[in-house]
Amino acid sequence: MELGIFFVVFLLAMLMGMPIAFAMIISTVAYALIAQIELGFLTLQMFAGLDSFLLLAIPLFILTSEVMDRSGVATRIYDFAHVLVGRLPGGMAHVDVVTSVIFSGMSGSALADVGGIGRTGYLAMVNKGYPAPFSAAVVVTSSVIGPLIPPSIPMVVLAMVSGISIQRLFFGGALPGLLVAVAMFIYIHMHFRRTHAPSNDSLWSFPVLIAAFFNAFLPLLTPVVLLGGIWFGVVTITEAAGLAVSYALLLGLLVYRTLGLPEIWASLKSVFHSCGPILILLPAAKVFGFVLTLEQLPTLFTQTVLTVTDNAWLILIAVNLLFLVAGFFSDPTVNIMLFVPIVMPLAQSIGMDPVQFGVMVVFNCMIGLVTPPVGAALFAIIGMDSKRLSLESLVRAMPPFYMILLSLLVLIALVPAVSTALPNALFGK
Amino acid sequence: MFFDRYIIRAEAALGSACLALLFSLLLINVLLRYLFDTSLFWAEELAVTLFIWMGFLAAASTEAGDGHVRLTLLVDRLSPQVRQINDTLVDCVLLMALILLVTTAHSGLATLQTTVALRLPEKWLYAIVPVTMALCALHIVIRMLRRMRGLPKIGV
Repeated sequence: MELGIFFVVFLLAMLMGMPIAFAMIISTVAYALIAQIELGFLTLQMFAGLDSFLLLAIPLFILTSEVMDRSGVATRIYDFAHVLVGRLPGGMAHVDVVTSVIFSGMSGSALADVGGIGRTGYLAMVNKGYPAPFSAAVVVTSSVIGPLIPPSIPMVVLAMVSGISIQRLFFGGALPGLLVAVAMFIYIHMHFRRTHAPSNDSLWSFPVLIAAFFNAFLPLLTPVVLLGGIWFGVVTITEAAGLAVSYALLLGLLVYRTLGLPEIWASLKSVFHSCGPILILLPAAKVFGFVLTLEQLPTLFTQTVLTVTDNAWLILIAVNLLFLVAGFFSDPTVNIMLFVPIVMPLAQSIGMDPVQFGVMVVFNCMIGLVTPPVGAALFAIIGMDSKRLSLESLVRAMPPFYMILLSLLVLIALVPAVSTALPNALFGK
Repeated sequence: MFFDRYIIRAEAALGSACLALLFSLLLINVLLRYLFDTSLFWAEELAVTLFIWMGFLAAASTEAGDGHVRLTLLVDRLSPQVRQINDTLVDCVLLMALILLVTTAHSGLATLQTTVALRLPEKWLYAIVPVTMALCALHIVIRMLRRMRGLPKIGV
């Protein structure tokens, strides 16, 4: 009865357009009122939702890419990628993918990638004569690499709600992220063997490459500093994020001298504003999860499903469909926090490795980011150039890229080693 | 509502300052540990508190700009008049829940002790939750008033 009302209030509020975080909170208020629980616990639970040292990594990772962006580091990386692969047929598309891979080692959010280096890559492609929808499709698909290759904000959230080791999750996403890049490279290469590619003026010579490499050398070290620190266990994830910020500040303030106090203050404010929509979801999920745990819903759910079928294949397909469909309609952080606590015991009951499960969930959520009707990455790039792009034209250019992402999802779901080999090799079984 | 703008600015300034401070604390602590083999035992506690304060302030600020993640697939299909009624209804329900949350917070806060490292009364730290939820309520009231007068939404 109480649980029924809890879900009805939640669904109704959500469908009527209430912010999802608040829909979670008011359904808990409704539940507590009916179950006659003192409402004071809500304040304590909400506070506890953010009370974790690990979570500090989220604003710090956003701050790193913000500072890098403002200090002109993105341009250096872009120029390096341009010299590296720009001369190939369809070179500008390759440049965007390579830039995404490099930048993903310092940024943990797909949307930050679209808004930052994605913008540079997109405009460069369109100005060189590439069709706008194709260029946008390349940019949004390559932005998926950002949260797969560490650092990654969705992985931090996932580690938080599931208790899976964040170190393992981080490195678990690395190979799938690189595979997206490789698959895109192959597709773009094949595409421009059939289609005429716009000419490119990239002058390639060994000295130019070396010069571009040295120009981008210090920023290229960021992922090394960050991941090296985590791998060797010198610093925690949060401290590593702090070090990455310091490194970015060092480059901007002392080495390139492109940053001043006004830019730093602007970066802080920008991070503050990007944090709002993400961070409120954690306290909301905490109170929501409080009710679910009280009613033992995750256990009940697992038992119910297992009475229907204990076929591991069916369960694997169902879990993927759940996250794919949820991804069409809702935000990655929301889906991770709503469904992971409920579905995780089920995935474990079929013997799935937690790291593989985590990487698979994040991959599903990232597909949701680039699919209509609610694909935040699609709308981010359309918002940048609404004259030349529409949702329809962009979605018409997407199918080959959807094929790439879906085939890789199948690979991740079927072959545990894709996500577990690297963390197992680095940290032992 | 002339004062709303100042509240929004104050939220952003305070939240950004929290972020700057927590970053500095982390950095100082890592440096102390590796260079001088010592550390501030209270740094982590304070950093986490500053982060929580920043998070809730950001939530209030986002509410002012109406920027929280929501599902608008269905309500986008409503006619403008029905949409307005729907939005007002949603705001009213949310407002009531927030007022309930804020007015009952003291019973939760009363159960708290002092923090481990800094020996601060925990209820001061936890008070950020009712304070920012009250700010959210205030932003919602202002939004409703603006909607009634036909004024545009505030951008943050």
